[in-house]
Amino acid sequence: MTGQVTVPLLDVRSLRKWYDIRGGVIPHLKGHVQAVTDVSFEIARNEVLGLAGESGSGKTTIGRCVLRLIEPTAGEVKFDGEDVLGFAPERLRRFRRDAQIIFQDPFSSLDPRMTVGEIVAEPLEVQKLCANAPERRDRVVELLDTVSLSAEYLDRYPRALSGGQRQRVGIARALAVNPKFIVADEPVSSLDVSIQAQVVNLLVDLRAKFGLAILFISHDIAVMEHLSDRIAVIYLGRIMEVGPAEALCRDPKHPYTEALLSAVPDPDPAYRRQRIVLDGDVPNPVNPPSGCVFRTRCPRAIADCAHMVPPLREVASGRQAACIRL
Amino acid sequence: MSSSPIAGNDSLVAVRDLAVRFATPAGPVLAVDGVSFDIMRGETLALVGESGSGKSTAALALMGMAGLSGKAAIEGRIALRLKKGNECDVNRLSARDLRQVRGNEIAMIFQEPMSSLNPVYTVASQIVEAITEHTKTTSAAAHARALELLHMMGIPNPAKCMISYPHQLSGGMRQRVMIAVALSCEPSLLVADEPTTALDVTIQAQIIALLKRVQTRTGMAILFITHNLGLAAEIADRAMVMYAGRMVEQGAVAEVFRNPRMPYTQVLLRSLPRLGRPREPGQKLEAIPGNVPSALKRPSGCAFHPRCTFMVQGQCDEHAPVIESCGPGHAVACLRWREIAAGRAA
Ligand SMILES: Nc1ncnc2c1ncn2[C@@H]1O[C@H](COP(=O)(O)OP(=O)(O)OP(=O)(O)O)[C@@H](O)[C@H]1O
Ligand SMILES: Nc1ncnc2c1ncn2[C@@H]1O[C@H](COP(=O)(O)OP(=O)(O)OP(=O)(O)O)[C@@H](O)[C@H]1O
Ligand code: SF4
Ligand SMILES: [Mg+2]
Ligand SMILES: [Mg+2]
Repeated sequence: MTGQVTVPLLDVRSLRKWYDIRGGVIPHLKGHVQAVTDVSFEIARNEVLGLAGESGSGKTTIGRCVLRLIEPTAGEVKFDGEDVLGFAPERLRRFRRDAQIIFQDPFSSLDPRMTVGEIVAEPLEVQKLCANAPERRDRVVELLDTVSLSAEYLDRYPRALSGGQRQRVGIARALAVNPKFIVADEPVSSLDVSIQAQVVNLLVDLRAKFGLAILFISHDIAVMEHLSDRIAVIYLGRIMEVGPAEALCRDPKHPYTEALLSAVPDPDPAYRRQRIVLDGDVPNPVNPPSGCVFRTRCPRAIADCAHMVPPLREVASGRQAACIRL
Repeated sequence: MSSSPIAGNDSLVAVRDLAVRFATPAGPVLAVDGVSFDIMRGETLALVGESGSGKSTAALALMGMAGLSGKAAIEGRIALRLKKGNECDVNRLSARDLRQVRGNEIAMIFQEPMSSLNPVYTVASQIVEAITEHTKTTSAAAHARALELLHMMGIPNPAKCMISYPHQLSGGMRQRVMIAVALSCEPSLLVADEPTTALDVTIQAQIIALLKRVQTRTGMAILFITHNLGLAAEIADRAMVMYAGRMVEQGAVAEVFRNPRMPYTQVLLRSLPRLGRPREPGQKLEAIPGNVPSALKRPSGCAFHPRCTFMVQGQCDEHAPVIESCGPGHAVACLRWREIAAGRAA
């Protein structure tokens, strides 16, 4: 291929995070929780990548590793072409300005002793982004306005806000430092149904307005399809499938994606999918199955599935999946 | 006193004008505000609504348990047809009779199985206890029945599960055990309060398939509480929507979800992102303005009026709509439903 090679904003290669398990009378290493194994993906500027998967599949771990809030066990994370894992403290501080996180729980992620104004001002102070207090206050008001909260909220405490309002404060705080990239870890999961759409719409707006790239983590694949350009489906710490959101949801390739989508209930019977009920539970990540990690629940598994880990490969134009049966 | 609401029809339960009021330090909370509904034998009724709308409180009242979590004043009538054919009013039973009704006639499962399973007893002893409490059985027979129930719940290794403690099981397995306990005395009504909300969708699909299988086999009725409209549509025959303690719409699932009449139901359905629908890039969801009202300060008139695009001042904020029939088996509480349905409301 000719032409200019554009560097992705975020480039993750062979990421691994295994948590140590220690125990015993004389504490010693007893094993590992294999939370994330060999995960690779890219996010372009102004792109939203959805990370879909069930509880314990490693979504939060991935989000935290790419921001270096926790240290990966192995792999490479490049931001704008630079090696994040090699950043010295000063460079890391600047990186933290470009890359922000929004948490799932708007109730525990805001300090209850700080007012809304103080919460949003804090990153501005830490990053020394405003010359003086009045300038900072103006900026805080502007940020609250961006998330549709009027200045009357400045002096309120988090407990006097609804869930959706708290989540918007969390978003305003993340935006304070003009990030290029945001990890949104289940940002709407704890909200009331009638409030979720407000926050989803806000994310759609902000992305367009600020050209943000977002790693959108969720177990709600319908919300994800709405918001994402591409979706990566993860199971037991590995990527099963990745592809354009719409195509992946319309025509899933991997048997796990197929089962996951079929399990999503829909209020309209005309859109009801043929349900594929998987047997059993997700295996323990301390001792994941050999070969394809999904094989113990896969309706299409054959003997060979136990023998090798299927690589993520192109299975159709623009579509990648990790399954030997495709 | 009026005649029994269930005499001569196929209702298993008939709830009339149920109201539950809690005394709290911040003031009285009217958690359930004049709700009436029926549950037919063998049917599944979905109770949908957002957090704080009064779903759990209504369900607990049905079990005679609303008073257990705090100081509650309960009004209204809860007629229940018993297995023997006679009927009772749950709200007027003695504590002793209530214990017989619970488990035997109505059983309940919760979102968090740990809240109804005892962490210090094995699965076997909990099921055996549930069985022997209500029926005269030898413990050997109860044990055999427990094993059979776990098998019926699709638990891969029932014998191993029997000797496990709840914390040793996965979320999905615990939920199955709780269902086994609930079903041990073959209740005619299972009240399921968000039983799959904490579970992953693939495990949720297993539990739903299980409940449907059990229902086909035993003919029990299910009151299924959820905030997930998709799930309600899928599992239930009829649905009932609650908002701020009141019932705002009720009807056959196909009717309520295809032709919703209450503005709240309408906009809630439109605000949901749906899988696999064609859409424009950057397209927005329809958002419902405002917030869910606090239970301490319920809006006057129609409780939805501060968020409703059809609200008419002087009407909606002053007069509480009554439940009206808006189609066969379909009822709605909205002052303007006729105009809205006819497309004449702006
Ligand atoms: N600090 C830790 N120590 C040990 N194990 C951990 C730690 N954090 C996470 N894990 C384990 O790693 C695996 C992945 O966890 P992670 O939180 O990344 O999953 P997730 O996909 O975000 O799940 P959820 O949807 O429940 O948030 C799980 O098995 C979890 O128990
Ligand atoms: N024991 C109690 N004392 C005081 N208030 C209560 C009590 N139980 C419930 N409430 C209040 O009654 C209202 C209805 O609560 P309920 O638990 O029935 O709602 P719900 O629809 O089940 O909500 P969720 O979806 O969050 O479970 C809420 O405002 C709640 O705070
Ligand atoms: S009564 Fe009025 S405010 Fe309530 S739903 Fe109907 S139109 Fe809206
Ligand atoms: Mg997580
Ligand atoms: Mg509840």
